[in-house]
Formats: sequence, structure tokens, C-alpha cells
Amino acid sequence: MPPKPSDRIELLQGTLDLLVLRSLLFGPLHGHGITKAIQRNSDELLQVDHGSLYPALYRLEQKKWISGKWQQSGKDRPMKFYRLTVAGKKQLGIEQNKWEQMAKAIRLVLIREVE
Amino acid sequence: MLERIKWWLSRRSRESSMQQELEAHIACEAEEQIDRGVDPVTAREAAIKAFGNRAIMMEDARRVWTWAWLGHLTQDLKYALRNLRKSPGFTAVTIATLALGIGATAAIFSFVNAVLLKPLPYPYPERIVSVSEKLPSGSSNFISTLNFLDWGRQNRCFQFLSAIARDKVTLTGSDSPEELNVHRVSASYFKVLGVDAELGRTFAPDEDQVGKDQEVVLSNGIWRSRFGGDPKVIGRKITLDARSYTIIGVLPANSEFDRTWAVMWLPLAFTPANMTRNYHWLYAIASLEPGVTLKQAREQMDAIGARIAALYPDSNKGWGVTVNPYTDEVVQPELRRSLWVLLAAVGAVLLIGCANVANLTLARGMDREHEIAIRSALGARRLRLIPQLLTESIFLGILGGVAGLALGNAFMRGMKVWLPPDMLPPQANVRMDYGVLLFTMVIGILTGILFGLAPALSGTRPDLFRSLKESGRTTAGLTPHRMKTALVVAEVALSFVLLAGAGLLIRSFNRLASLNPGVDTTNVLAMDLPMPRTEFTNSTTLTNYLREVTQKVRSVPGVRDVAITDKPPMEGFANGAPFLIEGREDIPSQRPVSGFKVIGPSYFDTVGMRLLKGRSLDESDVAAAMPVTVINETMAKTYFKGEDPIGKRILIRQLVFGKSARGPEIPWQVVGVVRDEKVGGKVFSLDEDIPVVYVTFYQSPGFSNSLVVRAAMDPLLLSGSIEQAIWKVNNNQAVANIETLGEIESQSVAPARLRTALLAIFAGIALLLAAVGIYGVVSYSVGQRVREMAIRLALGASPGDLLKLVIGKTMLVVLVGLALGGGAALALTRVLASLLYDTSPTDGVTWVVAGALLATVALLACYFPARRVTKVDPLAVLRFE
Repeated sequence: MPPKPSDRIELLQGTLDLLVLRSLLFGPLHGHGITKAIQRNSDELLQVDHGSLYPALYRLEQKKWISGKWQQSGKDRPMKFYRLTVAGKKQLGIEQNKWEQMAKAIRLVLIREVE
Repeated sequence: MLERIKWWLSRRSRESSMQQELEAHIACEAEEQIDRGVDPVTAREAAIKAFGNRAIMMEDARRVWTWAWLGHLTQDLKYALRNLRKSPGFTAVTIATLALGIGATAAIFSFVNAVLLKPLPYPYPERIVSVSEKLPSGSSNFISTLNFLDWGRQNRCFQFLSAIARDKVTLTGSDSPEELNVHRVSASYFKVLGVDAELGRTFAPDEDQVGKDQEVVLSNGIWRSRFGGDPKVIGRKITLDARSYTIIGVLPANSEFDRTWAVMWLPLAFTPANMTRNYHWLYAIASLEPGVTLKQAREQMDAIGARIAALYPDSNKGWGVTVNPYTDEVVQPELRRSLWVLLAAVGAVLLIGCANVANLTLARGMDREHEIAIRSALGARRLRLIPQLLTESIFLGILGGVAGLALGNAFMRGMKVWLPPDMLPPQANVRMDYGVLLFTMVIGILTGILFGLAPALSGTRPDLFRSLKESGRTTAGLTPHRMKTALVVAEVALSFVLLAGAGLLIRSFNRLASLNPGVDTTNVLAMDLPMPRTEFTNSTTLTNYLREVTQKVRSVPGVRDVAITDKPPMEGFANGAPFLIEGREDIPSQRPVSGFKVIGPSYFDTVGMRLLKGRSLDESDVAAAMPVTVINETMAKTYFKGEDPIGKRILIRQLVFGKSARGPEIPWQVVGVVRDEKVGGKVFSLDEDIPVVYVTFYQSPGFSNSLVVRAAMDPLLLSGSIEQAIWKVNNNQAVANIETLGEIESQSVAPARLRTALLAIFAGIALLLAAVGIYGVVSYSVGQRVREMAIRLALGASPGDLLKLVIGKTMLVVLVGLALGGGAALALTRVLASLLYDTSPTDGVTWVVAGALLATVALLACYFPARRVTKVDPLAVLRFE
């Protein structure tokens, strides 16, 4: 059963780019697919807001980290598929690193506070 | 950059691609639902709902793409154009109001720019200074030849130093003899300014020595008018005052030399007779040596002045040297102040215009409230709506600026024609240049923001519920109402400041213009008779000539009286003289100075000056007789307090005939006292009382001579026959500057008249705009409150009560504006003080009249629209409820 809407977590500012890049690591996906992938891989905890997904996609596309291409999907409807570029792969590494450091830092702070 | 342009150009295809992509997303979502067994219609609806506000999302996406603002701008402009076309009345009124305000501002600014903001049109304007002698009293004075030459030899601070003397010469040899104004200048004159001839050359360093001084530089204007713009004019010989001169150069076109008093520049060569220390007749300008500061130059010249004073105490004790930036000499403080005051005034008019347009926009904003509310309900953000509304007003501001530029250009040309000559410095070239252009457009855009911001902010306030609910039948919202009130207060306050300022100037001008000139100006004509020095070798031939001219003119039918004078009334002095009353203590360098006026014996009768005591000058006061003088009332009152001046003797150095020098001291016996005439002219203001001694031309002949003629009729009709009479005596006599005393009198107050008229016009426009503003606000609010009024009527209020209610409320606002304006005026009219004659900036009468006028106009402006409330038919109005 998917969690109730109230259990869902709002995405942290700036993490959407990381999640999108990560979702594309194993192959091209379209916007809807990316949403689904993020939801699925987070055990339905993370909810992607469409209002920010597409602007984020266009931003990443403009930075040349991903590239979009119209292709036929399975159900004979053309969909825009986004693919990770070489630069995007590199960026993913950077973002992931940043995030891990951040998470570590926050955890440290939290632990100290509890003591 | 190139990439960005490509992005921008491909925006349409990207837009549709985005549409498709979102559509596909929703379709996918719906299919998933259908797969779970939901029916297609519900599934699609659910998908759309889950997706959220698509318009906002697309907006955000667009913002990611570069230059979204450009897209917004074109969108907003289209929107603005559509809106403006829908309300042509509003558009026309707005553009007209702005064009008037901006046009007037641009016109005045073009003067401020040319006169006050631009540096003088020389390569090193900041290095040019004016140098003059400093009287013991501290005021500046002309320079004597020997002092000037000493300065030139001793200073190490000036790169070039040039003396200047004004003179008039008669050009003969072709056509009729013509009198020309010339400047006689040192050879270094054009080096000081850093100006070269456009054709030929200017003076070489030694060309101001006697014997080498027969060369002349022409202004471009006279080269074109008198010499046909002939490029071969260089080297041609012309005859000036019966001497032959070679033309060596022509000055640049459209330069100050085409606008200044002189039309030719001759070398100033000092003859042995000029070599005196006590005859002060020269101006001087100099250029500072590079690296020398004004302060250093002042210190050095102070030292030189002190040294000269120590060496020649008889002439120079207590005298010094003044060095000032040339700009201060060129732009007199009165002109500077007048221009700033006018710019401020016209700016205030523009602000009032803005307030009116803001009011209109607010009223229109309320009509559009519903539309805006719907747009915000659909997700339009405030930050997107405000620029949209602002685009519209800025667009209007720019249109107003463009129209204002055209109007301003016309205003400026009109004012230039209207301006009395000599009012602006010749260096100022008033025109619509890029500076003015830029200023005008910036003003246009700022006005747009100014009048658009308030309505845009209040119009987009997110109060959807009320707006949507009450649309169509509002009782006007509170905020715009408060803003309208504030605008009216500001308008009234600004108008009051302008009215008070204009009132003060008008009152002062009336007092100045009604000053008794001391002479009877009816039917009196004045004209200059320039005398070529070379034609009269001794003083007897000159005095005989002047007597003969006087007699011939007197015999012209219609002429009542005629006299020679060295200066016509209200045109200043030809000479001033330090004097000593016989028997009093003498400190030679600190003698008091009086005007020294040389006249024909019939002068007092001709111009109508009343003799107070003793006798007048008469034909027996000739060269061989005892030197006598008639003094004026101020002289008698100031220097003969409690004494009878008749019979006293005044010691004054004689003017030497034909030379710029003073001779030995001779005693002049006082034989009479006359009432003062106003001196005026360039140096004295019209209201100054100046001591004057009058002597006959027989006893002090000189070359500066004018004729005053009293006629029995309009004297201008006689000017032809007067000239004929003069030419019967001497065919080569030029007659110049024929004017009536009335004209001279009116010119003497011209600058005051001009600034008064301009400020009065601005104040009038301000008053009119304020009235329109009040009218608009009242009539709008009455329109909005018809329902309320109907209810009041139905509950038993009388129409009179309603009228009182509406008018009372508005007048309260007007009174607040008056009070604020009064406070501002109290602070601001102080800057007018130096422009006012015999009028205090806090003149009670002016203030009361200005306040009453404004209050009356405001009352009328609100009475007419308010009257509508009395015609409300409660039944007709309330039936719609």
C-alpha cells in the first residue's frame, strides 16, 4: 500500500536535480517515467511536484547535463526521452558527493544535539 | 550569446514541444488509471487534477529558458497596446498631459543644460579666469593700463593674460556708414580662450603694438552678412574710423563670437597717452599656467597687487586684484538662480500632471479590478501582473516623452525668440542635443513608473474574494481611495508652492516696473552718434559739431527739445569719477566715486528732470568759462548732509580729450541740484540710488555721444527726418540704436519680466491641472457612491446635506494640501529672496491671495461634479437592488 499523502516527504531544495540525474543513470526515461522512478525507488515516500519537474528538466537540458529526444514509446505515442550526457554523469558524481557530505554533516549535528 | 539568440528564435517550437510533452505526461497518467479499471473520462480528469496548474508550470519553465523577460515584454506590450486602443480617450488625455509637462521641462532643461551644466566651449574652460582690480570696498573694478602691464610682467601664474576694451567703430567705404561694436583685445586674447580662426588666423604675439595693430578678425556672422561669406576676404583692406585695417581671420561659425556683443576684434595697442594708473577702463581674462590652481593664482596676484599699492599709494592704496573663474563672470548669479527656480517650477508642474494621470489610471484600474481579479484567480502572480501594468504606463510615458520632445523643441525655439538679447551668455548654445534628448526620455520613463506604480500596486492587491463578489456594484475599495486623497493633497500642495512663488515674483515685478525712472518717458527718442576719433583733431571742432547737430535737429518740425548726452537715461554711465569735496580730508586712493555724466545744457528739460535747487546748466558753460556742475539729489543728500551744496566745489580729475586718460584735478563748482534719474544699465540695478555729477560737453568733451529728442508726437515717426537733419551736418555720421525711452525702460526690467511671466504661466498650468485632478476625483467618487447617496436620501437626508457632505470632505483634503504646501512654500520661497525687489518672501498679501485663489478654484472644481448627488433619484437607483 502506498503511504497516505500526509506521510509523503516534500523534496528538499536542490535535491531534485540529483534525483533526476540518478534516475537517468540506467537509461533514458520520459518525464512521467522519471516521476514514477523516483516514487518507486523511494518506496513512495518522495513525491515529485510536476510544477518543478519540468522546469528542472529544461534547466538540466540547458546546462547540457541531459539531452531530450522525441521517440515513439510503447503505446504508439511520441514521448520526450531524456538521456544522461557525459557531462551529466560527471555532475551526478559531484552532486552525489555533495549530498553525502551534507547528510553526514547533518547527522553529526543531530547526534551532538541529542547528547 | 549566439546560442542564446538561437534559443530565443526557436522559442515557438520549444513552446509547442513543451505543450506536447505535458499532454503526453497526462495521457500516461490517465492510462495507468484506466489500466486500474477507472473509466476514461474520470481517469483523464483525475490525471489533470493531479498534474496541477499547468499555466503556472509553463510560466516557470519559460523562466528557465533565457530571456524570458523579453518574451514577457513583447507579451506585455501587446497587452498594453490592446488596452490603450480600447480606451482612446484615456490614452489621448494621458499623452497630452505628459507631453505638455515633459515638453515644458525639456525646454527649460535645454537652457539649464546649455547655460549651467555644460562647461564653457573652450578646450580648457576650467583654466580660464577673469582678472580685475579690487576696490578697497572689495568690489571689482575696471583695470588701469599701467596696473595691467605690471600684472602681465610680474605674474608667473598665467599662461596668457589679455586685456579687453569695448569700443564702437564706424565702417565706411561702401554703402552707408555703419556703426559696429568691437572688442579691442591683447594679441593673446584668442590664446587665452584656446580658439583658432576658421579662416585665416588670429593675432600674432606682437600685433598689439602701436604701428602693427591695423589688423582685424571678423565674426563668422558679419563675414557672411557684410562680406558675403567670401573665402578670399583674407588680406582685404577695410576702413574703420577712417583708418585702414587688413582682415586676417574669420572666427568659427555658430560659436559664441556670433552671439556676443562685438562683431569684430581689433588689437588693443596702448599709446603713450594710455599709460596711466588712475584711469580704469579695461577688462581682463587669463588662462592659468597648467598645474597652477586658482588659489595659487589668487595668492600670487594678491602679492603683486600689494606691491603695486605700496609703490604707488596715490592711485593704488588699498586696491588689490580679484581672480575668479571665468564661468562665474559669464553666468551671473541672478541668471543661475532664475534658471534653477524655473526648472524646479516646471518639474512641479510635471509632478502635478503625473498625479492627474495616476488618478486617471487608478479610476481605470477600478474598472479593471474584475479582470485583474480573474487573472489572479487563474494563477497570475503579483510579480507578473505588476510589470504588466507598469509596462502600460511606461509605454505611455515614453510616448509622452516623444511628443514632449517635439513640443519642447517648439517651446525652446519660441523662448529663444522671445528672450531679450544679452540675457543669456553668448557662450551658451541652447539646443536640443543628446544630453537633452536623453534627459527627456529618462523623464518620460520615470513619469511612467511614477504614475503607474501606485495604481499597479493597489490594483493587484490580492483581495480576490471582495473583488469578485462585489464586481460591478462596488462601493469603492479603501486603498485606492486613500491613494487618490494623497494625490489630491500633493497636487494642492505643489500648486500652492508655485502660486506663492509666482505671486511673489509678480508683486516684485509690479513694484520694479512702476519704479519712477525720474524722467518723463513719453515721446522721447534716444539714439547713439558714434564719433570716429580721427575726424576730430581738437575738442573745439567736436563741441562745435555737437552744437550744430543739436541745432539742426531742434529745427525739425515736431521736435520739442533735443540734447546731447554721453548715455541715455537708464542705460548706465559712460564714466564714473573719484571725487573730493574741497576742504575735506583726502585719502587719495579711497575717495568716494560718483557717476560723471556729460550732457548738453538742454538735457534736463529734454528728458524732464526737475531742478530742485540753484540753476540748470546752460549754453554759457563753455570751455573758457568756470567749470560748473549740477549734482543729483542722492549726491546732495549723501555728501552735503545739512549743508547747502550750491557754491561748493568738487575736485575731479579732468577727462583728457581723445585719450583714455585722466588729466589734472580741477574744481567743479556746484550750481544746482536735480532730482535723481534711474541709472540702471549693465552694472547697476534699476533701484539703486547713485550719486551723479552732471557737466556740459563743452567743459568735458568726449567721443561717447548720444542724442535724446522730445517730440510733440510719436517720436519714432520723426526718426527719418532727424537722421536727415544730422546728415545735413555730416554725411558720414552713423546713427545707431534708435529707441524710445519707453522701450529702454521696458528692456531694463526684461529679465525680471521674463522669469515672472514664465513662473506665472507654470503656476497657471499647475492650478488648472490641480482643478482637473480634484474634479476627476470628486466626480469619480460621486459616481461610485450613488447607491450610498440614494440610501441617505431615502432615509431623509436633503440634497443640500449630501452636497455639504461631499464638498466638505473634499475641501478638508484641499485644506490639508494647503497647509502642507504652505509649509513647503515657507522653506522654498526663500530661494527667491535675491530675485525679489522690495518684496519679502513671506509677503502676507501674496500668500493670502494665492491660498484664496487655490481654495476658490478647488471649491468650484468640486462643486460641479458634486452637484450630481442632488439629482440622484433614490427610487431609480435602489430599484436595481
